[in-house]
Amino acid sequence: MAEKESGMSLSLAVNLASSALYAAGTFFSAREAMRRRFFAAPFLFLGAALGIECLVSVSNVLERIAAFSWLDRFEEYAEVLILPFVLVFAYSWTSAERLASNEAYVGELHHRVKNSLQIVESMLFVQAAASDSEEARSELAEARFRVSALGAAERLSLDSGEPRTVGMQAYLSSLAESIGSGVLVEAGGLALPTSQAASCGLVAAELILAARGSPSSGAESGGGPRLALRRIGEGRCAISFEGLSSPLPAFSEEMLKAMARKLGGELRLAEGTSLAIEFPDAGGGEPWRPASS
Amino acid sequence: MAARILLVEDEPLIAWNLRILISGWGFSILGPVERGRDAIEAFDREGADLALLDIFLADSLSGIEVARHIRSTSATPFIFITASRDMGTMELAEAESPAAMISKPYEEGRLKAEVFKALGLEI
Repeated sequence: MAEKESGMSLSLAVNLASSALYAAGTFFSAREAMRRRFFAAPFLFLGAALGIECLVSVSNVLERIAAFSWLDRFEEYAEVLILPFVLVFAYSWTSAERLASNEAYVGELHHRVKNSLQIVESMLFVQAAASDSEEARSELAEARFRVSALGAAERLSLDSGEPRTVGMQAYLSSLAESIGSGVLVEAGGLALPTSQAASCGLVAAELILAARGSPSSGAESGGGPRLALRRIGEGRCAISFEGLSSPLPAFSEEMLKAMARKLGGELRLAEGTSLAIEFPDAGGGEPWRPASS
Repeated sequence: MAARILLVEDEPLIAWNLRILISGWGFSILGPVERGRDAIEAFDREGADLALLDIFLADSLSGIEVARHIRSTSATPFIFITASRDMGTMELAEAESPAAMISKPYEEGRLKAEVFKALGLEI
């Protein structure tokens, strides 16, 4: 009798110890699964399996202490009935947590990108304001305009609710208007992926800067400098400019060539007064429509 | 007498830029201040005709809480300037009925238009 009681006590102690170990294993596996961005599934499964074993051990302990007969079959059915539910619940929970965490992380990154662009613009602005040299002020203002072209692409993209594309008519028009260039912009309903839009924005910024000295009167009637971005065929776009009154500065030409290469196209200059860059559309754009439609 | 604008921005370079811009438009500046608590103290002490508020500031008090204080003690309009796009933050900011919400990096022309509009002036 004493041996039997001693055996039961030992069994109870073993079950209690294994319950504690399984519970700890479940906790650490679940925590590891939550912490990981990748390779979380094995820890999820391990955690669920250990959790089931923990429940079985606890049921054994309860059975020995309180002789709960209804627990007899718990072990028999636990893996079959409960494991799938535990797995589905745990997976949904960790996925939702990870998604929310990723969204917060991306939001924070966007916040930092926009703030950093603003700081760069501000730095150029205050340096220009502090400079005694008219030439230095002018060059810093040009540099700031180029940075603002990049910043505007990010801002329009992130604030539009459609963070992968930029509506090019609003974007390029705002660039042209921001320094009162008098350049007429035609981009219709074309939208481009943000990285391509930013490259086109830098092309436009260079041309708008170059056109500042051009006569702008008559732009509305077609007589002034004109910047057009349109789809020219399946999967191809072109950005063109007419109305350069003087040859492009060497720096501007190099910038345009660099941006053309980045867009996967080539710069074509015609008679020194117009130019075009044809490039493949990286996708995500809307069909081009005339501005008047 | 030139309208006085309270400038609350915790990034010194951006504050410097805004100070030059706003002075250039003919307004006087209160600040810039980097902390929400200092902003409230400055506003209560000296008052302002308009407040330009960054949302995330150098202390635990946000621009939204500064706006809430301004709104509860005066009819002074305020404009949020922020790089944030977090929906929850934006909703809280909108709930304070700002004269405008301007996203960083800001476009100078739009900022000027909103400042003049909030002050009831024509450019």
